[in-house]
Amino acid sequence: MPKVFNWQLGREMSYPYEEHHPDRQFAFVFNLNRCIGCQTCTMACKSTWTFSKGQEFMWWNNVETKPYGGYPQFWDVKILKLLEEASGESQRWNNDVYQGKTIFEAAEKHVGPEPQQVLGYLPTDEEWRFPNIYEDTPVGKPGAPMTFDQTGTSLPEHATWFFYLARICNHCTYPGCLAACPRKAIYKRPEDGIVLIDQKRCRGYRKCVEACPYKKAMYRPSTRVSEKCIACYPRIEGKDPEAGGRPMETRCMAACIGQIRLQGLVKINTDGSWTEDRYNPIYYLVKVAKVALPLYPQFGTAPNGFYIPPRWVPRGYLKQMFGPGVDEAIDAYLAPSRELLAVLQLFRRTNRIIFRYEIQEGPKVYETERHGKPFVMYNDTIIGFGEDGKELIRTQVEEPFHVRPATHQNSI
Amino acid sequence: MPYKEPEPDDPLELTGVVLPASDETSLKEMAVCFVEEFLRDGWSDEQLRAMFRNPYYRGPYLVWRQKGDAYVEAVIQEVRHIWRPNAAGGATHA
Amino acid sequence: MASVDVQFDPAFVEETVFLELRNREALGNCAMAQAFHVQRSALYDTTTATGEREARFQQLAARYFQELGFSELFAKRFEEFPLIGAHVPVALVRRAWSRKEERVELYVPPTPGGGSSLKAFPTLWIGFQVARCLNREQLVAFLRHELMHISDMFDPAFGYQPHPDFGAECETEEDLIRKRFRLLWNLVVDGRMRRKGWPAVDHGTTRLREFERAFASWDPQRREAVWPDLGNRASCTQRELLELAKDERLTRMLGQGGVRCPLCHFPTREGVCDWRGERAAVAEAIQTDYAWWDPVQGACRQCFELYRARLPVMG
Repeated sequence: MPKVFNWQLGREMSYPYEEHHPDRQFAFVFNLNRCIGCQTCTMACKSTWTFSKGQEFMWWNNVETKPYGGYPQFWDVKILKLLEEASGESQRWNNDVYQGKTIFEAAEKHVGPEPQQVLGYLPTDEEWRFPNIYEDTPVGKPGAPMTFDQTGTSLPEHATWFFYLARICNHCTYPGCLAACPRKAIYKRPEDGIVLIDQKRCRGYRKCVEACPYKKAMYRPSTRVSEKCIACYPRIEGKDPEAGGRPMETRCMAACIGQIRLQGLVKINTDGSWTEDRYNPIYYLVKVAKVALPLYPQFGTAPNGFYIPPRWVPRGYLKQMFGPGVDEAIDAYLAPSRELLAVLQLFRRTNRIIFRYEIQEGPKVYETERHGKPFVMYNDTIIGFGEDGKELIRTQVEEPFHVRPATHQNSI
Repeated sequence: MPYKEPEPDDPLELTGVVLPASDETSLKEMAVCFVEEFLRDGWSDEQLRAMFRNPYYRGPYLVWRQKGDAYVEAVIQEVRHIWRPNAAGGATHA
Repeated sequence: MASVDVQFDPAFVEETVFLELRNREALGNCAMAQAFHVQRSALYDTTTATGEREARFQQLAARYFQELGFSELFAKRFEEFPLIGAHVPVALVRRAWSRKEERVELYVPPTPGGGSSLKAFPTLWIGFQVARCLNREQLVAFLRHELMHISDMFDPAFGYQPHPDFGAECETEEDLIRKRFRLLWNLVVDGRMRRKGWPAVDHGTTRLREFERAFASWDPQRREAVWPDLGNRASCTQRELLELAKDERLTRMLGQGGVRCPLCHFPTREGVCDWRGERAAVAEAIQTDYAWWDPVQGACRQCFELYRARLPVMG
């Protein structure tokens, strides 16, 4: 297999196709400290794309409770187990370089009569059937089943914990689905890196369903072809009437009540690295502040969905899910820098894609110490600009404070 | 949700409140209303009587306690006469 | 001999064929899978009317379903149960999406005058997960197990009633009795299958554990006696299984662990059974309204609170 460079793994890896990259890449950041599991994103996607015959079991967007939940059930546990068995070792990191095998490399070594491009498995009907199983089910106090842990929520790590993991297709740089398709019916768009299944070319072999480690490719029995999250590409193209021709975020992003989601289009160099774009909010969060991390980078697909890890979850669990950058990410988030605090205000202030931000400094509000580190809060103003350079939104770090006039206290 | 301690004037428990007693006319109207509601739904006389005698259905029960069998029977027949003049005794409901 | 017309849901057939061939491919046996996919792929380009296109996919799958031996497997199972063949003209096999949704039911049309009778051309509905088809031995065991239940329903010795009197006061009780009844019936079927030399259905948790959990309220000695007894029975009746399944805890006596408030009939786990001290007045108030009620029967918390709230008012 050819070799490609995976920046998330800090090394080269095998992939069935030669290295090739889009001009820009659809990417997103989800702040898991904010997700309340309201499932509005899930319903937004469902009511837009997957409400028809044959799609009943499909949830292109889903929010699962970790650690016990998963849609399909135990998807991550199963693929991690397969990976460990096939590679004969656990997924180790040496500093920032991944030492274990990816799903592509594991398949290479896979000895068996059926040549497999990508290590994977096909979920059963039953595994797809209960998307929200184990919702709100926490890990309890070890050794004390069915008891209420009086100190379960003390920090820095809760003893009793769970968190919501919101997931969509990651529109990976090296998609497992694309690699596995025998007919090359899956492609990555050059203009935005969105991964799509050609509905006319697909023949329903379901290799993509087997291969995607995140299980976001789904077979539709009524049309006998497979489907997946399409990143609401008409909206990115500006075709939604509300967008006024300008690139817009997906339905699931726009619907987010908890304001945990931010989507962007980052520029990509020919070698696959992100073009330096210092004031692109996604670039800043992932590359500069390093507060947002990829989901299960060890699979090797280089997902373009990044997560700010939930601060209360035991670090061991988070590290196996988000890689070695967890401690730094949480540190950065707990006592955010001036710029980070401002950028975090951009989440869900607009449904149009923000391409660049500017910060206008404001007065100091207070200073204190947080987790042993000095923290100062300034009421800066942050402005988000669209692709055409026009201002999209303008907001401040502190929420504006309105005082109603005494004469009309009940009206605005 | 924060837990609120019961206050002396807000005990957070079921409290009985006395309402002024109804006069004869109101009582009759209420009784008629009870019967009409369910009679028009197809209830039989037997079912209607049972409702009045069941302490679980507080309103009709109080009518029966205060006024007795004969009064309730008269109300039922009066309402039946208005709404189901042709049916005899009442067909059974589901 | 009358035979059952076994009709397969096309979705079930297609999925079974796809998964079976994929399994074979994974084990290195690719020839049939490849031939299937070549023919199937060609159908995608069919430009005929939707109905005809659909039919072609279904026909292709049906042919392979036959070639893979599934049709015969099902047919043979029905031959093993002549009682079913004698009474059931049609059996429908459908795809179920999880264990919870798997069921084998006999649908009986209503007879004039109310009720229903097994004599009137019933339809057998068999819904189960496609994944079961991937292990032939288990598939056979599963079908035999379910069909033995159905066969019992036609066996006069079993005395099956479609709508038996469970002797329950509410749906909660009925559900509980029904579940326990089915478990006991399963035990008898298990035993008979064993004695015929038929491989058992693999359940994961053993049948014994299921039995111990469902009948945890029984004395261990009683469980130890009933378990082998049912397992060795050549036959039994529906009535006796239902009697065994009744839960002695389900009485109207909340005070003795029952589930329903005698006043409002709502199921409750928390009954008030202690009527001493201040509560005596509440008990008296209840008795004024419910002359037949005895405090030992208890009352639910809601009824208790209601009567207590009324006390200052009613005097």
